[in-house]
Amino acid sequence: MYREVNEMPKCGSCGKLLNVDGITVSRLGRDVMFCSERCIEVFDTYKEPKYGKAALVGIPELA
Amino acid sequence: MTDSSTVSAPQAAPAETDPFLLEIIRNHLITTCREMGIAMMRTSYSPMFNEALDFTCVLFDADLEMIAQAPYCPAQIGTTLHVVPAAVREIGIENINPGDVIFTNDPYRGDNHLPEFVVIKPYFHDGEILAYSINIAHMTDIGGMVPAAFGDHRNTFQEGIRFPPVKCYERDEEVPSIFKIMISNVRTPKSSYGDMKAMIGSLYLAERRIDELVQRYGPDTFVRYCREIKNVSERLMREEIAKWPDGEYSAEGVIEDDGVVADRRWTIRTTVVIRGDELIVDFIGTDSQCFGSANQTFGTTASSAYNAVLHMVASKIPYNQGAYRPISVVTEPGSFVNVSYPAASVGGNSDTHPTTVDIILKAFAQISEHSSAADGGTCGCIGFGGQNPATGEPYAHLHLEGVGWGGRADHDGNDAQFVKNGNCANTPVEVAETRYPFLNMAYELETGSVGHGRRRGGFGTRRIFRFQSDGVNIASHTNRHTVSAWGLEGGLDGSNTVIAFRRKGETEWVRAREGFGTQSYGKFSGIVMNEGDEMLFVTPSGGGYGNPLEREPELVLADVQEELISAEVARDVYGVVIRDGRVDAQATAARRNGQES
Amino acid sequence: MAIRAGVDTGGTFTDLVAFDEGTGALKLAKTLSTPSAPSEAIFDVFGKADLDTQDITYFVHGTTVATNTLIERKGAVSALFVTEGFRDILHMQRTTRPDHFDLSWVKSRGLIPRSRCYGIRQRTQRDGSSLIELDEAQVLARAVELRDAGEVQAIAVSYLFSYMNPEHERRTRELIHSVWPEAQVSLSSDVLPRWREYDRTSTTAIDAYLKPRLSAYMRRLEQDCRDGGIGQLFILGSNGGVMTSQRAGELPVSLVRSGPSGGIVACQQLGAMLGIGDIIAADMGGTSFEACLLPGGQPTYTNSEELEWGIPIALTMVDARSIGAGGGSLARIDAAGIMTVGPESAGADPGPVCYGRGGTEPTVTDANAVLGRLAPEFRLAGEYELDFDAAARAIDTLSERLDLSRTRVAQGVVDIANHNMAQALRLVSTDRGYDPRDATLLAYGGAGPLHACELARAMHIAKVLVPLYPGAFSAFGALLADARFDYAKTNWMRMRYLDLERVNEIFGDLERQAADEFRSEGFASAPLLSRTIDLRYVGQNWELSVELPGGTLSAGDLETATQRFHDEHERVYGYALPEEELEILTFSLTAIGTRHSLELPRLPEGDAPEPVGTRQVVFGGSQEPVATPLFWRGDLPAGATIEGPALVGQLDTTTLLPPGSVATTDQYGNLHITV
Repeated sequence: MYREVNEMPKCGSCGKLLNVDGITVSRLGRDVMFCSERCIEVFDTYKEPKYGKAALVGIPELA
Repeated sequence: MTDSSTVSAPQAAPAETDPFLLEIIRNHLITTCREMGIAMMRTSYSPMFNEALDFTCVLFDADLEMIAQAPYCPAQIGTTLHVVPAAVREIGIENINPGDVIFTNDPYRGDNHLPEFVVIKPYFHDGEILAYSINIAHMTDIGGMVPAAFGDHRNTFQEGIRFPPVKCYERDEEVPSIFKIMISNVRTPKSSYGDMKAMIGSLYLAERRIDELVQRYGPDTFVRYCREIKNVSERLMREEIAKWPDGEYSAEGVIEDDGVVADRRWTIRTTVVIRGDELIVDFIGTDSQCFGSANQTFGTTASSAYNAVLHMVASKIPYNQGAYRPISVVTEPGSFVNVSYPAASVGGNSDTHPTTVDIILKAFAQISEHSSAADGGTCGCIGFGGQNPATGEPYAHLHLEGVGWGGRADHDGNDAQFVKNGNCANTPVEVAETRYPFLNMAYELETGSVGHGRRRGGFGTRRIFRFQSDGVNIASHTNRHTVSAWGLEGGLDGSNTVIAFRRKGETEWVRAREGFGTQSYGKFSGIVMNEGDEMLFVTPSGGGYGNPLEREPELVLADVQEELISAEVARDVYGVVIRDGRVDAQATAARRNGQES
Repeated sequence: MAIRAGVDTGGTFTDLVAFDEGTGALKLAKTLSTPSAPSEAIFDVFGKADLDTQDITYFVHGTTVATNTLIERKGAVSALFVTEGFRDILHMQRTTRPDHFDLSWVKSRGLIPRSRCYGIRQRTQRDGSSLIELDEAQVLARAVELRDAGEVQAIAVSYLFSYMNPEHERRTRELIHSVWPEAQVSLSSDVLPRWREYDRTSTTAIDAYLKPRLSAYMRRLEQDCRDGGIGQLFILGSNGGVMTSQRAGELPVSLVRSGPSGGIVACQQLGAMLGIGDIIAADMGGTSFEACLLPGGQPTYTNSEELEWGIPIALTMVDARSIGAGGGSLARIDAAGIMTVGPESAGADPGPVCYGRGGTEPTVTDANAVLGRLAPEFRLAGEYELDFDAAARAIDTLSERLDLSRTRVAQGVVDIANHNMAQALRLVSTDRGYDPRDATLLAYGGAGPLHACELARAMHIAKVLVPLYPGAFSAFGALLADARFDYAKTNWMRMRYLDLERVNEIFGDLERQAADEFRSEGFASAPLLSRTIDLRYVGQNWELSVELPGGTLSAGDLETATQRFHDEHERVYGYALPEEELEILTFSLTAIGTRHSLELPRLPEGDAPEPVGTRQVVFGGSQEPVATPLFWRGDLPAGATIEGPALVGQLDTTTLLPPGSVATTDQYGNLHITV
């Protein structure tokens, strides 16, 4: 079934739209999808330490 | 080593990397990108391509990573890293056959904005995809609210037609439905069709050249060397990044309005994070997305980050995905630098992008002298649309302009040069006037006002159009009418953009807000010009670098002799006194000391 | 005793090829160039060939004075008169940059400073009509001002749309000369009546910039020739044709880059003599490599040359693709440990390390020396000995860093150089839709014959031709060149609204112009004419040229041209749009005056002689040296066959025959090689 982009996930680190499946891991108490291993690393070593819970602002919950 | 006396059977891949073969293969791929561009230039229909050169040709390998590019448009190059894999993977590699061409222009799926059409042709060898040839090009008209697509749009539906990833060729044949839909939704069906054929023609040409390499060296060697080419560039980039001191370096800047809400500025905040041999460009803290089309897509923002970093790297690294790997980007979806559906973004890539790059360069200025003051900061996008009275045919023309670039530590900024996110040429007056019903009454440097400094900014340009038919639709998305290019290290800000109109018989110029009630001086649509009316277009100059009082008096004199600045400016801004065509050294010293105390 | 002489004053050497009409013999001589006073080397080389200048009835000179004047920026103080409102056209240029990520690039200034670019009140429109008439008072005032200031020597005049209507430009020249007869004036409608104002203005500015110096040079040369009793003096142009020294002084821009054209002309003439079809010319010198395609033996031409990045010189020129690959190209290792060869070059001074003239970095020539491909018996230009130990030490600096053997590294250097040259060859052949496999690779220049066979193999070309004097091939070409003048007029016209009368009228005007100029150049007979039109699909912006027959053109002739265009577009770009309408842009005429033909001297028949020595040479692939016989070119009779591996040496170059190749000398001494 066709879906529009507003129903697609965004990468938890860089914020890119993920129109194809990424890597789903658990972060800050929920499932988060990332576009690559590299973005998971950036999230863990930079984004989350710096912004805490706010690191996932704007990243919609996975359906 | 390489016995080329026979058409080779594929050779066994050598165990170690042969440095000579790597150079040969790498060079061959870069040359292929250049040749694709030449073919594109010579066969395309729109002056956007064959004069302004607003397109890019790149090659990707079997890993869906970029292995080669040529000096085209930085904005387009950066965005391919995201839109190409997104498009190919959505179609699904298992669903792709030899002779297929994938097509998309979706700004939400990694493209930089809607007008940028992307065509992708996989190269097959023995049933396997070993490479992709790609052409990404700025289509002048994509339907939508205004001819040539730039203006005060409020959503993507007003911008024009949007193609998610589809196949436009299947097994070497056009997919008729895609072309029918595209042609029915643009104002210039003939030239849009011709341009698409030109784009796709360049992909076939690239395929032939890739095939030469694979036939000579074999598929395994080809794939292995593509990987090594990227690894080499990655190593070189990491060495460059490692030279910069670890730390976080922030800078911010504004876009003066969005064309919808008058006088509301939009702030972009960025932090360049350097850790060892890796780099993160973090945009968190940037305003949320605006109401008009000044928003940047993710593709644009990633591209602006790469663009800035590559400008900062002084030595020559072969540009491919390897060079981009150590650079990561962090954005918040729904912000001004990562627009969410269905908000508009056509102006973001062209006209917000140069400011974003310069903001990142401002951050870098904290740690490197290689940076420069801001450039003029606008592409000068003005769209013209109407019907040509001589032929009765509709036309849409997107005008682009050069600006002054920022001063740098060791040299003034260049004059009349296209902004950093692109590399477009000016369309010759004789070509434009042969095609379109308007005249250019002037096109020259806009002198007098510039970003003064020890090394001054470059000058922008001044152009006057005179219209020769009624009903010419004018739309624009430009910047720096109220905000200026900033200087660095004590250099002064640059001068502003001016778009103004004068009806036939009038003597005074009026700007868009005063004359036509628009929300913005530079972002509007629907202004209609008639025969005899004129339009003035002045582009901004770059910012200065360093204290003007430290500029060498001979250089100030040369600028005065060249009629670029006046003797009054020489005295008042630079403290240089000129008498009888020479520098009065005593008066200058006195004046400069007086100024300083 | 009538002698015909061709002299090419190159960067390093001045070459002479002379033909004795009485004996039918050819002579070759070489001397070092004298850039500060070029005539000295010319008369010096006549002496080296034991020629009495009184016997020279016909002398063609290929000069680098124009090119060097531009490179060294030693031209005239010039001014530009341009349509008011456009004075910065040379300054703004194209708004693009060569490297898209380089913050340090400085845009070059044009040849004429802004303060000497003057807007003149006038305006011509797209159809040739005047929107604003020429302000004659303004022109006169400006001319008087410049005359009285005493600095400017030359004025370029370039108005918008002057190619549609040159009247304002011509009147401007009249007005300038009415108050200042000595002013040297170049009109854009004379220099290049094609559209795209920046290209046209840039080319015209270059012409004005060169005029005073080149016309003075021509006058001096004419005097020197008169003093020496030399008969006719002609100058070689960048379109491969000769012109009188008078014309060369009037249109000096046509001499820029005339260097490569001599060699291309020689390819064309030699190809015609020997009945060869497609030729790919490969000219490898000390610094650069030039490739040119001659489909059917006819050179290809371009209007897209650049003086340097962003500064066009858009005259019709022989289309030679140049890259920085020569005997002096430097082999370096970059920060990532990858080998690059060129474009930086040691040139001829200091030159390769093995020349012993102070070079320290290894070059392609040094690599060739290490591989045994240069024999000590063959001295450089017959005079200088090579230092093979120094070459080996230079290559060792690279092999140490790469941890590879000296031979491997030397072979790698040669391979990369060959690959780069093959790229240039591809740019002029496969990328234009020509399959080079059936072509003959004609190799010349000092280093060309050394690399030719390996290059041919890389391109899957089966046949190589090495002429008798590869190192003086340009001088040979100068000797053989025809007179060739190019005329053009841009006049946009759609096929749907074709005005056949106007088409014939335009060609008629061009032909009359050609006939008049040929007469005034002193040609007795009428020129041979060939006509082309530049066509494109309506909506495209770049044209392809298609030939037309002579005489009055009919609708059928234009239809045939249309079909040819579709075919050509398909061939070059891989697709055509047969349903689409075409438009005509530019009408071109080339007028050719053929020189007397030249019958080359024949060699006696015979078998290959005994070799004069043996060398250990490394050929690609094995890295083990192979015992290779040496021959001296001058010893080879007609019909002699030599099988590779072999080295054939001569005064101006060395030919390398790899294993598997076979070379045969023809009746004129040219080497035909099957690789």
